[in-house]
Amino acid sequence: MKIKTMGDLDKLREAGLKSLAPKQLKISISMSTCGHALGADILYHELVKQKGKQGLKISIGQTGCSGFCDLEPMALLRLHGRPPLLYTQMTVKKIKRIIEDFEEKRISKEGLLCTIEDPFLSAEPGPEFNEIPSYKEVSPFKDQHRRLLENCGIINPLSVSEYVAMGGYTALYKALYQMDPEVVVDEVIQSGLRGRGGAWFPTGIKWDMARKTHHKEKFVICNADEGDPGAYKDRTIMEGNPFKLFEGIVLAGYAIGSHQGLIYLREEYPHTYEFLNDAVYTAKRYGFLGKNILGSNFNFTLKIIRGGGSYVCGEETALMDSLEGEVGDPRLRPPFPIEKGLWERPTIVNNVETLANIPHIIEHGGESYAGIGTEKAKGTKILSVIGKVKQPGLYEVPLGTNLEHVIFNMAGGPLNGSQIKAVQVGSPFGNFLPGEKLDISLDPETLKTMGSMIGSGVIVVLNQDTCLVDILLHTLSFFVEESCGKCVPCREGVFQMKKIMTAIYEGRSTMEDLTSLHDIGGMIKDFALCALGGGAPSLILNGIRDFKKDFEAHITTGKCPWTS
Amino acid sequence: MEREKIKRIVSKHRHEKAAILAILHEIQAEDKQLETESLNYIAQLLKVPVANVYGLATFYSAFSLGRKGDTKIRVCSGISCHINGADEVVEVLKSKFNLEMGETTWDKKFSLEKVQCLGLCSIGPNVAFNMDTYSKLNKEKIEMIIEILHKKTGDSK
Repeated sequence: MKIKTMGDLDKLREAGLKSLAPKQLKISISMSTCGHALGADILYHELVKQKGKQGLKISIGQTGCSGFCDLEPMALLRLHGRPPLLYTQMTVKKIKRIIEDFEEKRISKEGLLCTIEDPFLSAEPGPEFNEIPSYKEVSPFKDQHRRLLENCGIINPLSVSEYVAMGGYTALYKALYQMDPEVVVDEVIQSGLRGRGGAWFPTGIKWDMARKTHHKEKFVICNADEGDPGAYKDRTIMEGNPFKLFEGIVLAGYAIGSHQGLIYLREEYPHTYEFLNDAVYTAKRYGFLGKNILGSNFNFTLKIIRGGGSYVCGEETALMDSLEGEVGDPRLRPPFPIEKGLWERPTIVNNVETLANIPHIIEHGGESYAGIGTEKAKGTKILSVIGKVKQPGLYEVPLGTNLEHVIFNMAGGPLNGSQIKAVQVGSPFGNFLPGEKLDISLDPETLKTMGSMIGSGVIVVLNQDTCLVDILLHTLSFFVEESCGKCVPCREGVFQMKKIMTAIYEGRSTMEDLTSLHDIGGMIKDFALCALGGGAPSLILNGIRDFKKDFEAHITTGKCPWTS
Repeated sequence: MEREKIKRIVSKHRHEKAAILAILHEIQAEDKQLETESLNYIAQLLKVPVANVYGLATFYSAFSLGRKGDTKIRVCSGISCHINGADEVVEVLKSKFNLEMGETTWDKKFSLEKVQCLGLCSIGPNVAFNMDTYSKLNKEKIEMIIEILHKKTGDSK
């Protein structure tokens, strides 16, 4: 059925509410890429089998990735009149016990993490629920401000009715019927939202310029070429709540006067590709994409395009080359995509996380959105905290949150009581911050003064057991492999740096090699064509400056002291 | 791939030059490689220089001119997997399949390659066998997975 009026939307919301508060027990298994990797499909099929065999009075559903993949497979238990229960690291045995306990009116405690806040719960749940911690009190969710990830792991990502029940598509309806495109752009400008892909350019300004260009054909490109090693926030949004992203993309199209959107998805996410295509199909069926969206005069189509496995295609001009069927070659700017983008048409390129912010801004207003964050960086940021920490995962926090707080209080601190040696914020370009300099505000400006960057929000935690030379060599290998080869400084320079770094790592070098690294690095920084080449040497040069001991240890002992 | 089939794929994409990546993806998925004749024919159908098609086939890591295995083993080389011991997993894969990175077994059943990041950074080391990904790997776990796989597909040494 196509949603054409507010009444239709209300009906869909009703259906979603029923699905979120079912009359009989509903067990939903988290079925994203990470869930699959840890056995969710086995669990799901076993559950279906058991249901048939024993005639269990349950329904079986699915949820998406919540950002804490190591707690997968997760199971969410829903029943009308009581708060949903979230279980982690489920096995067939554990699930069976949960069902048995349920039949005997007990709450199974094994693997139980918390209750999920249920905004629609009318009656007070029984006292047995009081002892279970809530979502907001328990690690890893406590202290988070989940604006973008609010539904991830909680709703069925492919159920548009559940998304609508959680407030989805209210913003699009409001924009199409009550706001002119320039008002939409104004709200985004007021929100202070800046591009989350790493460049942090003001989104509203970009949209305003694109809106003012006069061309019949314009494009909205969603950059889902999430290539920074360590980042998986875009995958989580796409697999956990794809309609939120679609709503943001359609709003962008409406704001700038475009009727065509493309999601450029990285090749390494094959599950996400299938998943997004399913979601596009559903969105079309309900009239959230296609002709006369929500009964208005606005038309918008959305296509998912798969990349070919090239990091440089995450750079917006190379990305457009790739969409045109070319090799991804970064172009010199200007002209900027807003003037001459895809097929020389005005184009905006925005990251997944950026676009996922839009529904909130339109629904609640730019001013309200800007209520959290720092003076120059508003809203929340999803951080991907990985490496040697107790609880790795995605933490969505207001910009300006203290880094030490995130690592120690939210992510549980370093593994096994070890000491933090260094933290890399903004992998692979961000510099390493020494373990004793973590008491800082997480925002682009502060990190810039530290000689680092927030980038796409990857935070790699390294402890005393890690060798910095090894990590730097690994990162350098990444740059060598991903160099597109167009300019000599990057293609040859980074290659030479890797050769020298390998010699250092293997203990076949002298102190003079450090000088060579300096010279080559300086040359690359000055002459590389794009940020990919320019970013590679600064990491090494800062590594030598801040962690010289690690380099010296290799050079003087003739081996890697950490591995031998 | 037979010309007829290539023609069908290209027509499905309405002979659009922009769809060339999608066309190559489809052919690669079926043939496990992009043969020279296929590339030539695509160029002819799309009316673009062969050099362009060849350029794409060699620039993007998803494509390959040489035959890949029926099962493509992709080892995540992201920073998180690296820190958590991916090298150890790679060594097992190399020795069990008798392969170096980028190589394919003689019977074309398996090929081994590196992938930049699978986006499963809190559960590394990760390895994907075609569409199936295995996580939280170590030496013992990957050995067990390979053993089960060999039983399923027949030995490949």
